[in-house]
Amino acid sequence: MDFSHLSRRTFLQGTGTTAAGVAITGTLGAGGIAVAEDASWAFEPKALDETTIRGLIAMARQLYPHDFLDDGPYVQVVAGLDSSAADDADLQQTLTDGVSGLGVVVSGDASHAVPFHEQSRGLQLRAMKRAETENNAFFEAVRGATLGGLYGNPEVAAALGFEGSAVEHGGYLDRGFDDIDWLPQSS
Amino acid sequence: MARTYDLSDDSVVVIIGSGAGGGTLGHELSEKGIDVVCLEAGPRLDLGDIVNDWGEMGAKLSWNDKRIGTGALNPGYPLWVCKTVGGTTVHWAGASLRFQEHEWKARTTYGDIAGATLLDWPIDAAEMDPYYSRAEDKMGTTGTHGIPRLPGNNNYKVMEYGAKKLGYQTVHTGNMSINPEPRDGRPSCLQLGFCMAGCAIGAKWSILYSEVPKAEATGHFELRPDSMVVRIVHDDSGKATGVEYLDADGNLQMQKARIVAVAGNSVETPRLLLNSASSMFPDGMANSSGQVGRNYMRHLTATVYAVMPGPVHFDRGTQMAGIVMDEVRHDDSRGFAGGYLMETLPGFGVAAIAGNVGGMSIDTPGTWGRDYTREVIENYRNMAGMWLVGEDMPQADNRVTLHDTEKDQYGLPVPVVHFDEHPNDLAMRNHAYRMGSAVYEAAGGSKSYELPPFPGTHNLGTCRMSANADEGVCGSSGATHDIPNLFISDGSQFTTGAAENPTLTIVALAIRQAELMAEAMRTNSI
Ligand SMILES: Cc1cc2nc3c(=O)[nH]c(=O)nc-3n(C[C@H](O)[C@H](O)[C@H](O)COP(=O)(O)OP(=O)(O)OC[C@H]3O[C@@H](n4cnc5c(N)ncnc54)[C@H](O)[C@@H]3O)c2cc1C
Ligand code: SF4
Repeated sequence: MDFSHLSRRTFLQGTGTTAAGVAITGTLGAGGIAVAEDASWAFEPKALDETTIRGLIAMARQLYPHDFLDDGPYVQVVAGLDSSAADDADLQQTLTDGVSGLGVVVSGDASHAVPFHEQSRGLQLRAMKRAETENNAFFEAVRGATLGGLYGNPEVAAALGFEGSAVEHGGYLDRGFDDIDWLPQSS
Repeated sequence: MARTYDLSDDSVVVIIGSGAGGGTLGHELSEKGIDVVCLEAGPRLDLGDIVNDWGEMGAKLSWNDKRIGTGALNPGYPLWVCKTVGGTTVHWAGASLRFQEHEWKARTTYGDIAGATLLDWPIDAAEMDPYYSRAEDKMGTTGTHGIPRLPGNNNYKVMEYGAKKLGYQTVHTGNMSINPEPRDGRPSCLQLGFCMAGCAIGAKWSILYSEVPKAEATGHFELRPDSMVVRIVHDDSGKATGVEYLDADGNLQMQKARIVAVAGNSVETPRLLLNSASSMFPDGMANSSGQVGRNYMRHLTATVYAVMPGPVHFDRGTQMAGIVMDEVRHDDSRGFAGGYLMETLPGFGVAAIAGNVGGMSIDTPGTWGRDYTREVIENYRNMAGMWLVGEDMPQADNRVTLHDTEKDQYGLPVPVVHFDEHPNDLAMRNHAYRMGSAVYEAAGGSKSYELPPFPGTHNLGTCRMSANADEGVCGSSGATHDIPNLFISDGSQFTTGAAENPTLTIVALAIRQAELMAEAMRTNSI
């Protein structure tokens, strides 16, 4: 139940996303950020072009980076966005235009086109901050999908400490619901 | 066995909504041999439909029809309630607390507070005592009727430790309608941790599997799911004669009735009365006072999450695993009227914490980016959390109205829910935030995050009980002041909200209402 998005549409989106397919290959603390260009896409794009997809993968990672994740879960988020865009022409337009807007490096009055996924980390952050204020609908669409898709991915959630469905394991009654060991005994 | 009734049968009691109020009333009446038709807008699920997945259950159970919030409400999603057989008791956490004696007399106890439309309830604690006791027995509430309390989970232990260090005295695992041992055909709690997605094993009391099957077994109860009531109809004398509803196929049906009881939760109940306007009742039914829809309350709420020095795994075990009761008293010296409770609350999964902590609290490095993931999200397993819930002030302009032009999928005007906070609410929340954060600090927490209210889960007061007909919508039995055979049977009846989670009181009032209704039917006064 993510209530931080003030529209009902994002509320439902944020809670309703289910992840499937790509497995995380990295493990906790293993480090090593895979760069977007090396991502092996695990899906057939349905609606978005390659530049948009590569840009969205880079953006998803910059939004919610974790050193212990490789690109797999971020690719999955973008696969979800791609299938939503296949049924939603407005979203397809928003995403395509949004990423193309990110693909511009601006300095003073000068600007130069560089695909977003080829920009340095610092330039990417600049472009995203610009989008957050100037193209908020695009920014929030990608942010909402990343929140729901990345952290709704059971393997990512598990790596962060959320243990998922418990009923098939008989709950936590015998699996540590009260196993806290660092707290001094209360009087 | 479950019976069926003819649409033209005008001897039945029609109940609108099968939640805490409507479901209890229906079961109680059927046990007395009174014939009941219960119309429920949502579908009928069974335990097999309940899974441990926040997203899936949110979509399956929630009332997602269009509603508009204005003022201090989430504009697109002002309320979090259920549209399903059993109503919001499928989602509820199970906390079952009685009102304190003085809370039945809020106007007398708190005095005249500017801007607040406080009233005393037309009933008192002594009168409610036996009904509370029957409600606790029905629901299997821990800490009553010899039922032991539940064991505390990690999230509770953190709160308990911090609270006791601060000097709080009344700290325990609550009065919960969750079985610590098998009772009433339901198993004991396995500490699954998904209470508010629906309890997949039925250890938690819910109308869905606790009351409905028993009502059906009396042979005096018909439940019609997927039946959205769109209008209450009346005769020339102004008496309610039945209801129009859209059945599962979208066909308009008319069910006749001797009595109509409305229990659609605090937005749908007044909305239906307003939508039932006629030439005789141009402002809606039971609304000669102009009070229908007014005094909407949703409790003072807030959440504090804190990062602790070691793992807490707050998703493990009952979600409302314990309570601190010391601040629930009325004590003017704190600078506000009424009181509040601290109850444990976990995070509803990583996606929700990742969105809500950054999006709703102010004290984070933004809402995204490396500093945010490191400080907040990567500390998920070390987080503890509590929900703060207290009495809010009724105000006349906090109200449910109908939108002029927008319609929902049934063609009915969309409800607009307006809510602004009272200065008393703000003073109480400030105190609650400070004390809630202090509890975690005392337990070694390194940082706490204060979150404003989630969409309303305790929705109350929009057809309130009043001694005087011009100050409310119904009298002490729940019968409306204007129309003796039209009853309000859910949380909309609440004159004031008290600090406690409301369901035990809704159930106790429904048990009492069934008795009064049966008596009125027997003596033919209805
Ligand atoms: C996540 C969550 C946790 C909670 N935890 C607790 C707790 O621990 N303790 C506590 O005391 N309370 C808790 N509550 C609150 C509690 O669930 C509600 O206060 C209570 O269920 C309200 O009862 P009600 O009868 O007023 O309405 P509901 O239980 O909401 O029932 C209303 C029913 O009416 C139906 N309906 C509405 N309009 C129509 C119509 N026109 N035609 C046909 N049917 C209609 C709805 O579909 C619904 O099923 C919680 C709520 C939520 C959301
Ligand atoms: S913690 Fe207990 S009550 Fe809650 S869902 Fe699990 S078994 Fe049911």
